[in-house]
Amino acid sequence: MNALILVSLVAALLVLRQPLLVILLAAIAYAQIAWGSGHLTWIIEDMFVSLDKELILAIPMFMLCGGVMTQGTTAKRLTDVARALVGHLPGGLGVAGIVSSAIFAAISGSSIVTMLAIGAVLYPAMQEAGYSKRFALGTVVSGGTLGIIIPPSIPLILYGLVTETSIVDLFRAGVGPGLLLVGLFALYSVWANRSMPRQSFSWPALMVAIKNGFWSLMMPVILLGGIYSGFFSPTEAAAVALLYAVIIEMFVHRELVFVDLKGVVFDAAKLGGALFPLIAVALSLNLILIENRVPDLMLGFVEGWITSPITFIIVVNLFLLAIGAFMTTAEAILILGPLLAPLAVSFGFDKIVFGIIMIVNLEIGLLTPPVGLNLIVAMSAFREKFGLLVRAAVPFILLMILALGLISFIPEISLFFVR
Amino acid sequence: MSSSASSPPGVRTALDYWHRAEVWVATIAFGGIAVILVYDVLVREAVIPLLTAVGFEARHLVLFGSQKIALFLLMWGAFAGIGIATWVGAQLVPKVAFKAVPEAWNDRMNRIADLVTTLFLIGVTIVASIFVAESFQSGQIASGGVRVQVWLVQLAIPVGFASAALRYLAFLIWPDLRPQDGDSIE
Repeated sequence: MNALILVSLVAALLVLRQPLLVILLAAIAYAQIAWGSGHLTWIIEDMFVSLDKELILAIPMFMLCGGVMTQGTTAKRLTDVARALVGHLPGGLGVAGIVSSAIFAAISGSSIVTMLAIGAVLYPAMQEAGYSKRFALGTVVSGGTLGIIIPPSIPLILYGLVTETSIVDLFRAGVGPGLLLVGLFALYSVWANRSMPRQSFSWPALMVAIKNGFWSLMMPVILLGGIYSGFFSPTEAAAVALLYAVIIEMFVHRELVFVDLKGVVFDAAKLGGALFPLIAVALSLNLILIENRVPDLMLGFVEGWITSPITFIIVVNLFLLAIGAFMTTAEAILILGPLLAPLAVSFGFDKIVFGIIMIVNLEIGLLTPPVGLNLIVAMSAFREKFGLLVRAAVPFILLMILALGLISFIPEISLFFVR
Repeated sequence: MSSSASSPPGVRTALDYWHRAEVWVATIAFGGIAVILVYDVLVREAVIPLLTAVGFEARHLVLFGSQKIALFLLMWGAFAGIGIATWVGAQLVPKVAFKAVPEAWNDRMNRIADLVTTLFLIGVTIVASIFVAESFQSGQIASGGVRVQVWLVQLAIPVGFASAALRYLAFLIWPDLRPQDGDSIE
């Protein structure tokens, strides 16, 4: 009965257009009254304790880092290197778009930042080179989604926090699926543009691009190299990346002045203001769920219907694909991560692999209407119609579903760099 | 409930000043976190090993409790951010049930939403204030190398919720103050 009231309460708040913060807090308060001790101040205490985790500090650092790089010319320099490197292939500019998105994703940790930074440079260049508007848009919006699977990734940090999974391991696990997606996107670009005129490869042009982009190219090396070698924790690596980005953009590229930093910090504060209280509430919800053995109860319920791990993962994938179309990545991870991860573990899935499966599902959600955030942002950033953007994303969505299937059934794709 | 007066200029100005103050708090907090963490890593990984190698004792350069200070700043930055995100329309609002009511009722629904949010956030502010008052009375000191009374950090929670409640109350009374949909985090 209490569970039914809780579901009705959440449904009512959704109809009443409440912020996610309010919905989560109301759900926790109800759970505390119905199943817990009834002390509402404990929720606030849990929120306070939940934010008292060193790893959380990595999130504002990556937000600031992404902001600094968006203001500077890192994206252009990376794109120039990728164009010089793979531009001679059929569909080379498309491949360059995917490759530069992947490299930028290895710095930014965000899908929107990656899409806007690379898209601003590449979309006009692809149109100028004669690529169809549909393909160019598809490349840019899909390439942007690599930002949340290729580490560092803010959604991976969130998943690690709410499911108590090693963030370094999650970062390692994101590499294989990220490369798989880059490979699939690149092959599609070559195939789709096989009749396009090709450019000739030029060593001098590549050398010039590498020389100009050297400091930007070093960013993912320092960042991921530091984390994977164990030299830095993710938080320390994020701090180093921020320092490096500021130095490069202010003193080497000279594209950023001190005043710009205030705007960068403001944007981070704005996004952080929406996110951090939610993290605190979601983590305190997690504590209540565990205290009241909700994952165990859910498992008992699900096992009554599903017994095979294959059926489980297919059902969960379909569920997450549907959720991804209606919820943003952060919302879905914060709410569903603590509920689904224990279920997946009980069906024999590695918690790290399941995290990657979850992120890839939600990555697809960035491209599916009505709440495909990359599509919505691209609509205003590139001034294109929503319908065109949806059609442009379709081939890439199909490739991502193929990749999702492979990642779901071949855990080694994720675990190769973990072990 | 559907008809509404436009907001007096003084109200928008006052809320803008409040917003600016919060932006400054958040900017100082987030900027401070960045400075502290960068300093911490630089000193530990570069400066101390370098100075030690040339025969100087440099352990005093370490900022003890740096992570804790950064977390305290995050607490203030984060909860100042609730008000900021509310004012600029960056709060995450699930739109899954937006079409449950006809589009013609949008304005009315938004005002009902603002009323519910205001009341709820006032309630959260009261509960959070009780929590902070209890913490103040207990005189609890923070752990992790920073001798600070914990309530000073925890105070950010009721202040943040109160600020957001005030904003929603303003949107309820003067809907023209309500921001358009803003950014999201992906």
